[in-house]
Amino acid sequence: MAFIKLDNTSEKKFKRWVGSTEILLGMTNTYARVTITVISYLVLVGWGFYSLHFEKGAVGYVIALLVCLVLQAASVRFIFNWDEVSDEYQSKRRDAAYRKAYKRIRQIFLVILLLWFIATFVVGYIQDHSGLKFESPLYMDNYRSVVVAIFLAGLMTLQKYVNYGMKGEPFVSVQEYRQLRDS
Amino acid sequence: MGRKPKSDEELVFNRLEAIRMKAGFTRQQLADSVDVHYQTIGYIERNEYSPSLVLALRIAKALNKKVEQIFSLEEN
Repeated sequence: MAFIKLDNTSEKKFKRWVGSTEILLGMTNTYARVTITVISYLVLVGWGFYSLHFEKGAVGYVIALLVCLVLQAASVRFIFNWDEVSDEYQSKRRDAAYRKAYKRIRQIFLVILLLWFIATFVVGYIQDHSGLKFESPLYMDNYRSVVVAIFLAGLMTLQKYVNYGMKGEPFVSVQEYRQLRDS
Repeated sequence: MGRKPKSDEELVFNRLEAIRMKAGFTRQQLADSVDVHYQTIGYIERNEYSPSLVLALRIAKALNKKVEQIFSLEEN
């Protein structure tokens, strides 16, 4: 029992350290957050389109998305992963991000459904004159379905990071960071 | 963004920076004593964030002041 308690304490200390370490400084400032978010969306959409169109690269797509998600998590000091790294300001900002992300995901799904409905209508009713059949307007085999699932999973997971806001920590050197902290 | 006050009604003014410096605390030292990130102290000092009642009381205790000596609804 004592061992477990000691282990928990070490874990908590590690997480608190992550919450303030200078090692992550280069990733937590506003410029880095914007850059990571742009790269994440480029990977999500660009690589997703490539995988869907050429029907290859899905494994690389997953790995690239995971790397982007780890970068996103590091850029907010793993605030969505560990409660211990956040204080009340960060917790409130995190909770607001969850709320916004929930709304955004709802909107995204509505738009996807609407687009799907329109595409189905155009293909099935206007072009073929065969009525509203609710058949896929895209050719979807197993591989493509997996790519679409990866895209949706990535899109949903990214939402909380995007809706956390781009405002990061000040863009400062380690010395300036220490000066700010110790002033 | 975070908990930035949306209206004047929510805005809480403070003299935290002056009192903290007078007491000889750095942001990090005060942050450690009230268990928040040092940047949260900075957000409060710049009126970008209104702390919870618990945090305001903790800050007052750490600086050995009354809450109303640090925080107020009117700008002094």
